[in-house]
Amino acid sequence: MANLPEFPPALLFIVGALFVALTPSASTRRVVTCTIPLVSAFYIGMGLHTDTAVSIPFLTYELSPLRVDRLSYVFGGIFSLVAFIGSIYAWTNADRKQQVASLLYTAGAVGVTFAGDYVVLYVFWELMAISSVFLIWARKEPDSQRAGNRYLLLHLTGGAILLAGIAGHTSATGSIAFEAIVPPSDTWGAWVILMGFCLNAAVPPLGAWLPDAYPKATVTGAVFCSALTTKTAVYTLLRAFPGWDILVVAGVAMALYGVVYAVLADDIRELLAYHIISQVGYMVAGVGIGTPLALNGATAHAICHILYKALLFMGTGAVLHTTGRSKLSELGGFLSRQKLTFSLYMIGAFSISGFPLWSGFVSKSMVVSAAGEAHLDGVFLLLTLASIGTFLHTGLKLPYFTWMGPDRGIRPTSVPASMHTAMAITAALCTTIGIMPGILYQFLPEASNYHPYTSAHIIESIQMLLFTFFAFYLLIPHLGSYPTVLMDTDVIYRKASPWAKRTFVDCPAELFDSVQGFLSRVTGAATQALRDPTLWFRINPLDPPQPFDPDRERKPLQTLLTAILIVFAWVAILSVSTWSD
Amino acid sequence: MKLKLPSRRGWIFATLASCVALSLPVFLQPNHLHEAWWNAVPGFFGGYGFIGCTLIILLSKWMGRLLLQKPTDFYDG
Repeated sequence: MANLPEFPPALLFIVGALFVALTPSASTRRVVTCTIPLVSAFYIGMGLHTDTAVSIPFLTYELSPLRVDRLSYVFGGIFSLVAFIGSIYAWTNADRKQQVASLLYTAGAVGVTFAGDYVVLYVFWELMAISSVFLIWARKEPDSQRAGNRYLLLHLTGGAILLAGIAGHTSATGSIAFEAIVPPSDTWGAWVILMGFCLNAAVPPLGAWLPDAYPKATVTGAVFCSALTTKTAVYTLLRAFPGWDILVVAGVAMALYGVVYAVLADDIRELLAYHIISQVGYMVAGVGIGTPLALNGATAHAICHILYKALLFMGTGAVLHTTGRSKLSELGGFLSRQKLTFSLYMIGAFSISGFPLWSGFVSKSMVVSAAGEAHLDGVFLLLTLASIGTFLHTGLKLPYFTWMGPDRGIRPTSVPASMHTAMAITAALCTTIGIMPGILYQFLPEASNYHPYTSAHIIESIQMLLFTFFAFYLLIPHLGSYPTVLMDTDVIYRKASPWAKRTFVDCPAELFDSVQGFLSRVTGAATQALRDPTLWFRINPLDPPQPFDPDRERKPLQTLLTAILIVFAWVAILSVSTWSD
Repeated sequence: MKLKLPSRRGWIFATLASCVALSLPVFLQPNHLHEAWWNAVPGFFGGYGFIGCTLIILLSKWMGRLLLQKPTDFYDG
């Protein structure tokens, strides 16, 4: 396959999006939306090599839209694969906007992955932000509209922060190359770039956009959202900031933060959204630890997380699609009607919880073990604690209260076969990776001889999961949820937004209206007063106006002009006589 | 929701499962990847799972009541 032309795989998605945007036939659009990611996955797998690079001269720089190494290779491949799965899941959805948005969104993620410089990265970074918001707006509910607006505002702000960082870093180093930045960097631009990446990775306090927006996305759109934005950010952190200690602290904080909020969440997709933050915390911590095992762990966990989180979102999306409900306080009692959906969901839950034989067991443990190997005992114990919370929420609380729990008389419609097919493919991948981790490990960026199936690891996992289940069983009465709003760091801008609107939109508008009205009144009065200056000289202004006569004012004007001429002549004579003296 | 204690069969299952899980190290002789003080504590991860799960639930609920959970119209108006 060495004869294939070398071009950025993102172009495939962009061309596909243009084609879908212009194609009237719904069935053709479906086929193209599914085929493009598959072609991209094959092209990355068969047509690109780990030393491929394409560069284009741009001003005084060299743009690099295609830079392939082991890291970009594996991320580009998994993004294409999950887009294929997401498109199958969305087979019954003929909404053209969503199809175009999902293709462009994946183009952004794949484009960032293969970008070798910050300029190309920034372009695809913004493409992701702008295209993904349509998957939230497409839900067409007032809440989704508002959440989409906030999402777009936050991500455009994040993009502006990233651009400022790129400008600062480039001016300090003279290079736009997207490479590892050695800690601690002395350029302020590097720290600002880190901030921009952390916003997309949903690192608190910058991550409240995620649980705000993802639960309000469409059923199919949330699958793409769960897979692309945060994992692209993890890729950029892996590329640019390996070994930055601050990321260890941030990662552990994320892992626990998500777990705490997930206890309180009532919406099933909000619960999963908080668990994205928790799971991305492992990856961020792995990047911060920076050892080969930790970097491999962060990469492996990102790949596994993309798959099992997509599976979990597909399962909860199927519930929303068939019942019209997504609140735990409104669900329950229909397990017998959705056994297949429940079973496939549980494979995702076993995977994320780190059950032996499923993918989380072979990826999450790499990051936790890396913390142990680096003698970071506190990090090891806290990440293990977060793992307990993961099983509690996604493996026990969510399935129990969604499908079991009290019967609320729900009669769900049937789940489309395409949804089950996509879930089954993903579940098969999660299980295959869990049973044969070598398939995953061969693609990792660093050489590693990590073996997850040690007796110690198996024993620790079984003990922990079993006793977590016991605690859950005893505390079920404390886990019932009720409709609520969770106050996150977005309270700052959500509560401030009415004030900001009043200050920066309403007040200037009112001031403008007042000034405009005043000036209109003044102008009107002046126009009225100056309409006919001769009226000022009437003896009685109340006399009725005379009919128009062009000669009426001629004599007085002649008299006035004559007087003026006489005065001018007199002045002229005086001046000349004075000058001659 | 009313508290429903496990049935007798449930208690027997839980006891047996606990015994099996806690006795696994005897049969499998774990080879730990790195040295840590908790490797010497029998059944450490079982206890950590139970206590950790309990703490996560109770502390999160407490934080929710104290600060994080707001009425559904919190952001309205």
